[in-house]
Amino acid sequence: MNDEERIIRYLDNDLSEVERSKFESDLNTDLNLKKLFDEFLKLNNLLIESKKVENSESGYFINIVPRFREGKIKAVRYFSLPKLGFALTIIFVLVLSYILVNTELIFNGRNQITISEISDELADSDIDGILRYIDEENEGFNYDQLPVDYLENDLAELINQIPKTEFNLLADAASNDISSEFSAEEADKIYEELINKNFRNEVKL
Amino acid sequence: MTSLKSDSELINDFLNGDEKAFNMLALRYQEKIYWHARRMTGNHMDADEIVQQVLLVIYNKVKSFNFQSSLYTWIFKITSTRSLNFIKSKKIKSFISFEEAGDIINTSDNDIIAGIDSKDKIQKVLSLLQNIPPRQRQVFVLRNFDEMSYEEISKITGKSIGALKSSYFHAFNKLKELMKNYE
Repeated sequence: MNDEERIIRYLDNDLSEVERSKFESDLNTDLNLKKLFDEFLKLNNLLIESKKVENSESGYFINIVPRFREGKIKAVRYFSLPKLGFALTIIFVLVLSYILVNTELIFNGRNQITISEISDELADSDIDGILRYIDEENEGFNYDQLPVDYLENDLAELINQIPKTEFNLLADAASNDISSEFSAEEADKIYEELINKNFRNEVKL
Repeated sequence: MTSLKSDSELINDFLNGDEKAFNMLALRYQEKIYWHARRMTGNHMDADEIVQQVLLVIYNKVKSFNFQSSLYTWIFKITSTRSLNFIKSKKIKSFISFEEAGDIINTSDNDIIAGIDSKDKIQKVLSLLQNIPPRQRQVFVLRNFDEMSYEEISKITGKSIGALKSSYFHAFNKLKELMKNYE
């Protein structure tokens, strides 16, 4: 324990009886310790003196409780403001985050719809576009070999059974409107789904 | 007018609807609350605001007081915490408004200290206290001025007794050095 610590603990009444006796004995013999102790004692005396003047003015204390009674409602409002401010800040951050996330999605040109959703949602189509597409992608199929009445009646009827949304996709694919939206692999997958759904079992070469 | 009833009796009376019982409690502790806040913040206006805040907290929360510690310790925990939070928020406000936060010793006519000599002694001590870190100041004020045991201070601050003694040592040492510069 260094001298400062001994002095502070002595003034704080935190030394044991033995330590206290030793310290007081050292004070009488050690001039450096005595000098340092006097510095601390000066501060300690000032602290003690300042405590004595605590109750200089009683008028203020008499009015504390009446002022509290008058201001109770006003004080509750002051307590609420920081909490309200905190809550509003959290809400603002959440709203801002939501806007930023959705803004990114809006300006992102990438089509977020899945392939199966695309294949399920096609509108009315251009029959020629569909047939051209089928002709180009399905080497085994040549609609010129089909009987005319099949083309005019059976195939037409078959095409009419296809959901409207599917035709649009095929037409767009044929005209390359959406080909840039999908990779070649994705386009093939869409095509296969459409063909397997409606054509393969019906068209016989 | 002081009440002869114990703290627990006054609390029970207040919880049963006797508002005067709360007034008695407030009168019993208001000076200690004030002087603790005054030593922590360094000025009368801030200490006065803390007193009102502490009384409001006691008024609203005393129903949840379970007597696991003494009421005195509980009140001081509220007062000490409020004082620290007040100091922190004032520092942030002064930073945002670019005001000088250093000179916070208020020597306005609202001060309650009468007599030039008394005022001088208290202002000197307050000025010294403002130059040590708030948490060291808290421990020093609770120990030296509020005369609490380290066990009680540990309940208030949540710190170990060893850490508190270390804080007290550093605070006292620093105050001694600061006093040399003050003269």
